Amino acid sequence: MTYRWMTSRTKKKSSDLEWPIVIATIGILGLSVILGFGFRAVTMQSRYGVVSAEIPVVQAAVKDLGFHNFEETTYDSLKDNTTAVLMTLKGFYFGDLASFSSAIERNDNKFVVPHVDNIPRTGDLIVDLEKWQKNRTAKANIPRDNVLVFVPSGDIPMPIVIQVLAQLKEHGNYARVILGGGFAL
Amino acid sequence: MKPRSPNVYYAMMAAKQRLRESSSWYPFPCLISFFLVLLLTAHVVLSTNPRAGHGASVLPLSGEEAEDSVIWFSVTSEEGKITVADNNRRIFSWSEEVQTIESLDAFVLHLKARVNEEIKSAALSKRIYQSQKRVVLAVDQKLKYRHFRPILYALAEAGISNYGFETINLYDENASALNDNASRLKTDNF
Repeated sequence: MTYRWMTSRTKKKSSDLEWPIVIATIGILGLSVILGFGFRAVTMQSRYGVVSAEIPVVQAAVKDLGFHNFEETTYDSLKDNTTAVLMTLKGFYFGDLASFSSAIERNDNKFVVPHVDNIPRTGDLIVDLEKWQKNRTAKANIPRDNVLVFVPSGDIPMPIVIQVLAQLKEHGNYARVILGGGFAL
Repeated sequence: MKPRSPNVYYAMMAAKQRLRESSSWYPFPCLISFFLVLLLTAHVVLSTNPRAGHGASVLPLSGEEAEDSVIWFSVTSEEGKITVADNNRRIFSWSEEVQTIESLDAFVLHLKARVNEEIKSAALSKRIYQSQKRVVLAVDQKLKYRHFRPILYALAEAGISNYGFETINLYDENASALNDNASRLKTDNF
């Protein structure tokens, strides 16, 4: 076996194109995956916010076995006159909780803010809610509530639900907005 | 030169024979290291931000600035199924037309376990952060409220009262323009 023979053998091995093509293809695919991850990481939004909502809880007495004078306080509670807003594809309906439950058959206790060209008029809703609450305080001496129950119908897209929720909290001055599961209408 | 031991001679002959034939194994060490690099890159990118790898496109809306929540879920819809994935890459899915809370048992159990973990962690460290109390949901913009309603029931079932919807907080110069776009959302666009 001469040195020349070995060299020609190595050249033959190097000129075998079967593996280099496979490796090049896998390499390009792999590189594109790595670059894809990289681009995704670079282009991802870095600032996120939260529109918060709440689920009401039932107060329960906790046994204070260690005598730490632990006491759970109630900040707000849902009552018959808590403000409720229903949102359908046609418009907003608002009133107190009783007007959508125990007194649903009455037609003088609910108010409507219709959508215009399918655009929800949240600003008008907030203004009307404020007027209604002031009127209610003057006539029936019901204090302004910081809690609002918001019940969208199932067909409302989530971006609109989130946006209305944010506007009610921000511009409507409701500290707690509760998303409702549904009313038995 | 002939080696003295026949075993060494046969070993040398075998080695010569092996070197004469073209080898088919030589790319494998390269491939193994290449795939290890690929896995490492994927792991680093995915663990840096839980949102990477999740398909939920959230609403661009300037909400309150929040720290990353400990319990985070993305909610998306694919082929008639609602898919919920958490920041630990646990995935739950159910039909869009789900009727009973029993269909979400696995998800409810997982929520309870996550809440218990956070309670234990808070008790051991004797402090609790806002991010530990709140569940943050990155809800895809294509979803409707009826798709989200079962998740609301599941949160209530798991004893979670504080939750929020994730939004993309916009930079100040763009915030007004994009918020205007968001406010033009129509109910019939979806």
